[in-house]
Amino acid sequence: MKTSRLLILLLARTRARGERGFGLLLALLVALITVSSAVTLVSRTQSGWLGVAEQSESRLAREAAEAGLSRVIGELNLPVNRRLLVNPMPFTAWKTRAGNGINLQDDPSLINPCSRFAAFPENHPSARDGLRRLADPSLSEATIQLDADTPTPGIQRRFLLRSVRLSDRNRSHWYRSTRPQAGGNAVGEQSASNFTESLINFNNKNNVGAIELVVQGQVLKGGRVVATSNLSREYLVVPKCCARSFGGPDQMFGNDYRWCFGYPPLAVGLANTSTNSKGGIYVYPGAMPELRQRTNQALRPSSILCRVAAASGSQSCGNAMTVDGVAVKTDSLSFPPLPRLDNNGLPCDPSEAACMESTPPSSAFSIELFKHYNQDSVDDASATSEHSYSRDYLRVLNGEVQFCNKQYAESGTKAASMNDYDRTETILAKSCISLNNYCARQVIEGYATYHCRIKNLYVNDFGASTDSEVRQNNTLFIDTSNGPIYLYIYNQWAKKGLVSGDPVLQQMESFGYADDFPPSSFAPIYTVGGYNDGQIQHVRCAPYTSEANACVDASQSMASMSRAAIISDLENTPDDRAEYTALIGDDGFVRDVFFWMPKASLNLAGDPNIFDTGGDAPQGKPQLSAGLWLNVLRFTLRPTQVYVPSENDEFFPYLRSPNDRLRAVIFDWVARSSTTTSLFQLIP
Amino acid sequence: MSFLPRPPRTELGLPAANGFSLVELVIAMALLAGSLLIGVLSGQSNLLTMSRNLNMSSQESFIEEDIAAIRRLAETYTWCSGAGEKEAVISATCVSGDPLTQNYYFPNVPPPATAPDDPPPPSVLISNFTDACQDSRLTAPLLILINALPRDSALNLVRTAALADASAPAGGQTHLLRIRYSFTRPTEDASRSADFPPLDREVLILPAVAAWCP
Repeated sequence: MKTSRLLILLLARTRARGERGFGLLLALLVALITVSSAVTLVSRTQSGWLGVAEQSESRLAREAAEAGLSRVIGELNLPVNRRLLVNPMPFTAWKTRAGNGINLQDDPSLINPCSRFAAFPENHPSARDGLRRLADPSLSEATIQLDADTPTPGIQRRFLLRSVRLSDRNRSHWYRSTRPQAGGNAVGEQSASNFTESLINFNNKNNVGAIELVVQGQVLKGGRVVATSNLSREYLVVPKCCARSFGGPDQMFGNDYRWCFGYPPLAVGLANTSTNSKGGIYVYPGAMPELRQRTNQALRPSSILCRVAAASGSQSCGNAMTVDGVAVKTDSLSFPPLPRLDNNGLPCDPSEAACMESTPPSSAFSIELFKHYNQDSVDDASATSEHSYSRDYLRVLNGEVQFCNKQYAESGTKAASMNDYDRTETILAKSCISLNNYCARQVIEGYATYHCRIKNLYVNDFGASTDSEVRQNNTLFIDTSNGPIYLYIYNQWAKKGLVSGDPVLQQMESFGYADDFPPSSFAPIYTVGGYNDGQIQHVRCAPYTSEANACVDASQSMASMSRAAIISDLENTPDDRAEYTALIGDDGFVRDVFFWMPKASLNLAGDPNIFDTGGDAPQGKPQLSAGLWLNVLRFTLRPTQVYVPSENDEFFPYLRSPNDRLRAVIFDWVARSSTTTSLFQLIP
Repeated sequence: MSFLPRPPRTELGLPAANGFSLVELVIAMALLAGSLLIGVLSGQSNLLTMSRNLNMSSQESFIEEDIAAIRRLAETYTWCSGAGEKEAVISATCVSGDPLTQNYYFPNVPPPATAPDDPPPPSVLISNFTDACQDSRLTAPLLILINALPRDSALNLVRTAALADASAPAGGQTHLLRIRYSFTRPTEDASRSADFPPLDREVLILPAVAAWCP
């Protein structure tokens, strides 16, 4: 009998008379309660299990978002990607950074400024895949799989970059790019006061920025999204010197005390005015330029930077796109503004009204050397007007700039030779004069610098006829052992030509050079012409106090070179030779200084003794050793040499104090330390 | 069997034939036995599930604590001494004992007082750090510290810590750490893996010191 039928019969059975018990009903009831309790218990337990599983999926989604944040910020902090921390652009456009076959150098808006000095590895998952996936919506919904290495069966975790917001410290300038919920390209929006990367710099410790990321973590099961979690986090973006850790003036951003070398050793212009349309490099036909690093002449600089911020139309960076095999590279680099001098002749901050309204003193000093008057001591009583042309040694002593006469040796190991200058270490007694009327001393936080208004630098040897004679007084020494010396040749007081009665013109005429070197060829910086021409040599030793002391150690690093800076606002056109700011050659040289003349032209002429079989001896190489910020660098005639500092040299004026006028020109940025954290959930 | 008033008796005093039939008794016993069996089985199942949940809870709790400990390590880990250390011990080169502050992670090597206008001399402490930033050396000591954190073998839990971008070229290292926890699933759950996802956990952690790399 079937059980169901049996139950029906039992329930339908007519009770016998007197049968009143309900034992079977009770049994049924107990069984029902027992079974239902068991089912309920099992159901609750399984429900708890499912709850745990679902909770776990949510947690996995959040962890995927956390991992995404770490991944994104880790990749953006890679040197090759750091420009993206401050570049306002839809982040889906980042794919051009990592796109195959795209040379970073060809994308100036994405390139790390420090890549001018160092090559960054590009062939990295971040640069080639991860970042591309972050950016490119066509790639699997632009997500990054987390389980790529060790996939977990049955489940996938991934994250999706949803939003990037760049801002300054106060969040008043910002730029945000957001990916639509449905995917696709990110769109950008900007605050009324636009965010630009220039807001984050070393000028002030408050000039930091922030980057806020929104990342969605996703958990997939069987290809279906079962949980999501959105995380938002903001990181501080801090400027940082190239190849340095965090530091800055007065270590405002960290305790890396090393100096910054955010400094291009050789940069020419495309002219930074509307009227001067020519700039860059000029190599005359037949010229044989040699371009090397100063401290290792086996090496060439990696590039010549040509500033093209204002380039348009047919403008170019020069007729020759390589010099001695060194490529001329266009660059959006902008130099800091030239220093302004205030009423006291001290550099001031152009952002201050008082600075802009000030006018520097008009008095200025000519540094002119010719003939060889300096064999003997010159005291006050015996000094003649000619002796003023015998002084050849500029130095700082006892808190003032002095102009002195250094002794020379005619023979022996200290005498000047073909490749060297005279190394006699003695200043002639009583030969020094103070330049206090032309030079101002600035002390910031105990550190002194010296700023001199100079009409011109003229170093020549008219009147000399032998090598021995010319080497006695044709080198101007700039000694910065006791402090940096900045020579300002500004238009307001510069000597830009020769007039009748000028001692320089008289010298030219008296020695028969006026035809070869007409007055129209005069330049404010002039070391050409004559028998052996003239030289300028920057030297630096340990600080000293003795008046008789003379330093003869060449100062070859950029850190040292920039202590002897020749700064000029003169503007020249390359087609008009008379308007060159600097003429250097033929035997003459200028070594180990910093030319900061962003509007000026510098002409370099080769040494004729390369071809001569007799006559005056060559002065050796190089003709020009300097950090160069120019508009035009022109190589003319015969072999010429330009040696520049190493690209890893440190830039001296930076880091002395927050008030320094010269700051790192080139730096990058790093995101560090999250500033806020918030968590919120979205419905899948 | 009845709790009701006694049934009427016959004239001979014998009870009337009005109780359970044998069939009824068998059915009642079967029902009780069946329900008892179900109760016992479900109870055992619940005990197993509760045990499993408890184990999961212990595992999750352990992981949460472990991740928190690793995150703390990632914040306090510093190279201020010129080598990777668990935390800064105040010294000439470790001038800050406060993690997540700007002078905590980098060796403090100021220029000598005798030549304040010269660059600081090259420091092997700094070069150690900057060299380590180029590759896996920066985080190698941190991984040792992480692997030295206590484990609980009773939880069937395996933790692996490694560089997320181990194959990155020099200078392209993100220094991201991938921390992964894997469970050894109990045998009795093996058949249910389709219903319940494995609970392997994975986190990526970026040590704070990495931002101080050049």
